[in-house]
Parts: sequence; structure tokens; C-alpha cells
Amino acid sequence: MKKINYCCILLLLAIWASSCAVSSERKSAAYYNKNKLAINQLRFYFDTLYSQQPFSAGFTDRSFKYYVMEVTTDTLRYIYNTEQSEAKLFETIKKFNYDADILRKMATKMKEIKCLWLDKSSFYIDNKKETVTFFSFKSVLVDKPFTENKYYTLIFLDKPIEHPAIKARVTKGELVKINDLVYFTIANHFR
Amino acid sequence: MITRLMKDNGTPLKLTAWLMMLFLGILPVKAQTDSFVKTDSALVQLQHQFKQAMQLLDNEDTTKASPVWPNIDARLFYANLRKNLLHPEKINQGKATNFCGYAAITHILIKYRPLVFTKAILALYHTGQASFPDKTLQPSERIRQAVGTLKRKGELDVLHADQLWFLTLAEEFKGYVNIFDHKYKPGDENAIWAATNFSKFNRMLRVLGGFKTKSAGSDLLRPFKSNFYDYITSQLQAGVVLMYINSKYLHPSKYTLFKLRAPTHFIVLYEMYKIDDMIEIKYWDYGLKTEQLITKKRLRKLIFGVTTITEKNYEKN
Repeated sequence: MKKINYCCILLLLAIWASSCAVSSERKSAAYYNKNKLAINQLRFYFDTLYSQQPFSAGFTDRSFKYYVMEVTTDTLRYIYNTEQSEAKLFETIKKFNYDADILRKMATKMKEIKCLWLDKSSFYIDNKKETVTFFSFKSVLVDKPFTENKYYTLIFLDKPIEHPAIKARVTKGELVKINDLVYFTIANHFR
Repeated sequence: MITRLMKDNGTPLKLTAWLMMLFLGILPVKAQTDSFVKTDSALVQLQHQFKQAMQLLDNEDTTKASPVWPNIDARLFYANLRKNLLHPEKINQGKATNFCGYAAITHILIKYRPLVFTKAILALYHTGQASFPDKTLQPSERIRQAVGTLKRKGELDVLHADQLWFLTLAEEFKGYVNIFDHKYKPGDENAIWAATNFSKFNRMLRVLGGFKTKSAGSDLLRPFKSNFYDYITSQLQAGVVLMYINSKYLHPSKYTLFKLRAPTHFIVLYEMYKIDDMIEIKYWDYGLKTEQLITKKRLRKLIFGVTTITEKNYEKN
């Protein structure tokens, strides 16, 4: 019995040591620059579909097998995923008349670059509404078990925002500027 | 459409009454959503309350700033209040806040007690205090300074009536979860200071709305019911159902290895029915109703508390 306990402890130590040995380097501006083309393509697909009817989408699992889509109208939000009911999701896609070809391309591209979630979000500066697009990824460059549980979120602006509140967040390190229209942040949540 | 609905319901209500109900979002098409307003007299009373609430609002000078709330923009306050009365489903707790319990209660309060809500919030705005039969709300100077200054909360940034109401409720109602943090500091809206436990939530419903409530479950243990689906659907027939849930199971992801088994969020349940092996639910939170599928297993993991508002005590308030 004692021997089994020792083996368990050794096994756990080995797992811990191997997880520490794995590079847990975070994604940064370099990741965006390296994948710029694919990310911009994804943005184009998302914006095209979003203009038909606002929605957000992502994956529910680590293996990027099951898609989830949240379609939002002014009063109702429909949440369906392929893990629970493909039929319901397809029904929703049909209901809102999304371009199936672009949707397929978007889904493929998301999987290709391992984008966990994409959405748009609004905030207010001096009582004026601003809307940004964001894409979330795992924060670490190499995704292994027991690595950092944070998310690399790319934020896309439609026009440059020069405001002390944004500058203050950049100075604090909450936001990192890649260029005038693209920022990233390391967040605790992916959506 | 209206004629068909009238026939379905079997009650000879006039067109104006239907339009009023449409405004209030309580069209009695499905029994699950409207089991609370059971009689015609209750409906007429509700319509009357709504009309009085709108009249109160119409009599206000919407440009006049309040001496009590230095950072409230009067224009934003009144626009927010009007929007709330016309569209109670659009109440939104804001981003990253712990206001879900207060938002759910406000959604119900405006829907079923519009006059009580309007009188209270206007009294708070003008005098800094509002009285209910069992409680007087009198927010502190800290709260009066903070309202109108919340930032990075999404639309809540410009919803000054909601800021006033949520921060006031968070300060005035305390549960055991708030025991170590009673004094508001900037940023506390996202912290344990604003958190709501199940008994505090039920108490707020009773005090603010004069509602009669029945609850099952707790902050730690799930309701002792063998079949959650049967229990909840029976409650939907009995009245308005609010649920205390673990939101990790509402929007599940498998990116994390560990999920805390604890309730985190309040929602208002509108519909629940079976589709093959799955359960479809329609619930309200974050300013919208959501329709989604859920498995039976996840339903059990999701729910910690179920509160049913069975009837209103009109005499009390």
C-alpha cells in the first residue's frame, strides 16, 4: 500500500515538473503580427455575418470540436451549440438567414487559429457609445495541461480613440497597443 | 393576432387593455409566464398602477437636477426611468458588477409593482429616502456621491436611475455574505459588498414588492427535490419563478479544470419544456430573455435556489 502511495506522489511530482518545464510564454503583439492575415480574414467573415444579425460564437470544448452560437435580437438571445443539438443551431442559422458559406469559412478559420470566442462589446466614453470587436485565445503560446488559465484577447477598434481613460489603461498595462486600431489584453475571462 | 389571443384566453378584454399589457410585457399567451396575474381584477389593477406611474413621471421636471445626488445627470436619470417602465425586460445589471440579484428584483418589481417602484425611486431622487411598510431606504453620503460616477460597466455607465437604485439596495440590504464589508468604496459594486445571498434576495422581494414567496434550496445545498424539471414546471404554473444558479453551468466551457460548486447568479425563469432528451429554458438576465437547451444533468448542477412569487399582498403596500 505504501509503495502505491509513493508511486502516486512520484507521478504527481513528475506531472508538476513537466508542466513547469513547458514554456508558458504568453501570446503578445508578435502573435497578432504573425497571424495577421488569418485574423483579418476572420474579422471580415464575422463583420459580414454580424451585419445580418448580431451574434457571438466560439467553442465549448478544448478540442475545438463543438461550436456554440449566441444570436441576439433586441429582446431575445438564442444560445445553441453543436454538442447538444446541431438541429437547433442550424434552425437558428436558417431563421436569421445567415450566409452558410461565410459561416462555414468563419468556423473553419476560428478552428485553424484556435480562436475561442468572438464578439462585439460596447463601452461609454464621456457618455458616448463606442463598440469594439474582440477575439479571445488561450494566453499561452503552447497549450498544455496545468498552464496559465488566462486569455489573450485582441481588441479591434473601428476608429482610433484618443482619450485619457484609454491612455491610462495602456500606461497601467491593462491594455497593450499593437497599432492605432488594435490592442490586446490578458484577461481572466474569454467572453 | 390580438383577436386570436383574446379568443385563446377566453376573456373579453378591450383592445386598450391588451395594448397596455403589451407595454408591460405580460401578454397572457402562455400560462407559464403569466400565472402571477391570475384574475381580470389583478390585471386591471396592474394597468392602473402602470398608468399612475407614467403620470407621476410625466409630471416631473426632467431637467431639474437633484440636490441630493450631485453626480446624477437629470436627463439621463429620467430617460432611464422612462425606459425601465416601458421596457422592464431591458433592465441590465451592467458589466462585471454583482448587481444580478438587484436587477432581477427590479425587473419583477417594475413588471408587477410599477407604481411602488416609481414612487420609491422618485422619492429617493428628490429627498434621499424612500419608505416601504417594513423598511426605509436612506443611502449614505458615500452612495450619494458614487451614483452617476460608475465607469466601465457598459450601458450602466449612462443609466443613472439604475445606478441610484442598485447601489441603494446594495447598501440598505445586507446578508451574512456582506458582514465584513459594510462601507462602500469605489469598485465595491464588483465585490462582495454588493453580493446577494439567497435569503437576502427573498427578503428584498418581500420588503420591496410585498410579495408572498415560497423558496426551495439554499446558498450551499441544492433543493431537496427528486426531479428538478417536474418541480420547476409546477412552480411556473403557480407563479413567477426566480432561480439562484451557478452561471458556470449556464454558459459551460471545458477550458478550465475546476468549477466552483456554488451559486453565483440570479435569473428569472419564464419557460421550461422538454425537447426529446433535452430541456429548453427561457430565462431573463442582462436585459434580455434567453432561449437555450440544457441537459437534465446540467439542470441539477445549475440550480441552488428556486423562489416562487405566489401572490401579491395588495393591502400591505
